[in-house]
Amino acid sequence: MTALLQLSGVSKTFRVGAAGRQTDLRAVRDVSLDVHPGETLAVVGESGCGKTTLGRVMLRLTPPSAGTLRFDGVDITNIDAKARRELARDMQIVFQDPYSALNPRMKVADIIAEPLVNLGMSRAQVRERVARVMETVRLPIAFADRYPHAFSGGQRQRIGIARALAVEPRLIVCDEAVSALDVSVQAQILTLLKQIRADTGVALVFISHNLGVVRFLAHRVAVMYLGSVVEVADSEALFTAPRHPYTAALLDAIPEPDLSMRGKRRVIEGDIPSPLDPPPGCAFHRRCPLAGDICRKEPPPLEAKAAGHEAACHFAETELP
Amino acid sequence: MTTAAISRSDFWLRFSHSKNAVIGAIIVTIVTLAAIFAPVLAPQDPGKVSILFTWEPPGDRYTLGADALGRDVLSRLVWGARVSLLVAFSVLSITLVIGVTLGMIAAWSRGWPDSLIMRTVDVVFAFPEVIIALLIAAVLGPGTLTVIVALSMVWWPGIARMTRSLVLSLREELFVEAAVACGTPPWKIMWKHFLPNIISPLIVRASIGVGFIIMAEATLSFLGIGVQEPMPTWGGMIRDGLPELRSDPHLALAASASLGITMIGFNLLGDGLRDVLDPKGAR
Repeated sequence: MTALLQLSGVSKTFRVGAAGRQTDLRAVRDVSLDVHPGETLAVVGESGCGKTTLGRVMLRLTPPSAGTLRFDGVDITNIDAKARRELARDMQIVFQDPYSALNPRMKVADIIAEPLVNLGMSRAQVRERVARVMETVRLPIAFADRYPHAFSGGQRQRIGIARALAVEPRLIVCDEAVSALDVSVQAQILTLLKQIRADTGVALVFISHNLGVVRFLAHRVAVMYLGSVVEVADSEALFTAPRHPYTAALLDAIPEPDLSMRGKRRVIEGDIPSPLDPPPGCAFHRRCPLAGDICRKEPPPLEAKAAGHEAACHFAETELP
Repeated sequence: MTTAAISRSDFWLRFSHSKNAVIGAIIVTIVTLAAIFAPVLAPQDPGKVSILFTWEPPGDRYTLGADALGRDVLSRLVWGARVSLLVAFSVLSITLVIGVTLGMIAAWSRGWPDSLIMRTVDVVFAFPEVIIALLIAAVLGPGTLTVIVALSMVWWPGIARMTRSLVLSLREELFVEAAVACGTPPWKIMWKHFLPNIISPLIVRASIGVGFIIMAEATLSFLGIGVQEPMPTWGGMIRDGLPELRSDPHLALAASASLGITMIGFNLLGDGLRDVLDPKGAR
């Protein structure tokens, strides 16, 4: 199966600091990932690990500093602005904050219609399509003439999803699409996404820090730490048999109402290192319970540890304490 | 940064509760109507010279008296309003188009166009407006067109700078990124996403700006490089009345009062609109 979106060796570096004393912030470091048609790939990690930047690079909202990006086999690493606009036909995004993501001065129908109008659809076609996607996300058509301020967070997120769905894209990047919502509303939106995926076969890149949500939705999961992917595996394999100590610690951090687990959690100590000054060797070694000498010197490559299960750890075979 | 859109009925309710806005609107309406209906309202021909009635004090024949040439002051005031508003609205339209366009381009590009536009703005700001007007008058010769060109030259940088700062904070909003992501071209982002969200502060600015443009127009006419005779202007009337300030104060005072009241009207309206349109910024 050919990949729908293929990232190879993608990095994104920002120049930060005052002029003259600039340093490189490597937000995304050498990431290679495939997203297959119809698949849901979750990207998880702590705040600041570069997952949002990775999402923006995937959509070519910002060009990568290094590496190549292919969509449907076509190199889109260095396309011009016009070609980028054409990509909107196939790739869309849903944002975390449903309050900032909708223009307060536009009516719901116009918000959802924006990508369609950009494609040059006729007014009748646009109206028909807007009505259809509003039905898909279960928004009453009567809402079409209202402004965003009249809606709750969950409803706004439905509007955002409707906008992304309108062009019938092949890939939607959901950047923390439910983390700003109440838990009950999260469940509704997740169920909706699942149903949309089943109905349309759209591929999703689901960026999240919430592993419970990820487990519910994802086929495959990529774990990011300090800009790099440290583990990629099928959802089931990752959740039941994590290979990377960071993943294991993340899984243990999922709150579970199980008293027998009390005191048995592996808690990672310390903070995520600064991407301005990454540690040598493995980025995780200062917080890792397994770390040995090699970890301080050599960064571990991301390599297959089992079929379809890759991890970047020198001690990935070792039983976790 | 973005305020929720205010519905129309809400707007009028809040407007009617703002004392500033209502008083300002009344003054502005009266001045505007006077300007529009000057030919009907003026009791006499503003240019009609009458040597029999030079320096006639206010009375039955001339409600506000007559000037050194026996011309009716009230008629000249009404026609003067016409000139002032014509200049003010021309300048405002020109500077809004130029200033908003350049301000948005500067904020959107953030590269060399930004530097070019904003450094030009700095240069224009560095010169007093009268100097620029004198320069332009030297090139074009005095007249109405000169006033409009000169004041537009002076006025667009402020609007450009304000637009730029508004757009800079707006472009961080996710809906702008969403627009980019769904393939909206830059000009459309400016037109559909930026403009509607910066229109309220611009309206406030424009309303207060009208008062100052009228003032600047009067200054130029006072100096003799503005609108020329026989067109009556408030600035020209103040200039002509000044030597007679002790003997016949009505000449200069009538025009000064009109100028002052009109400026207050536009300023009150602007302040009131700010309270109405941007509740967060109010007191």
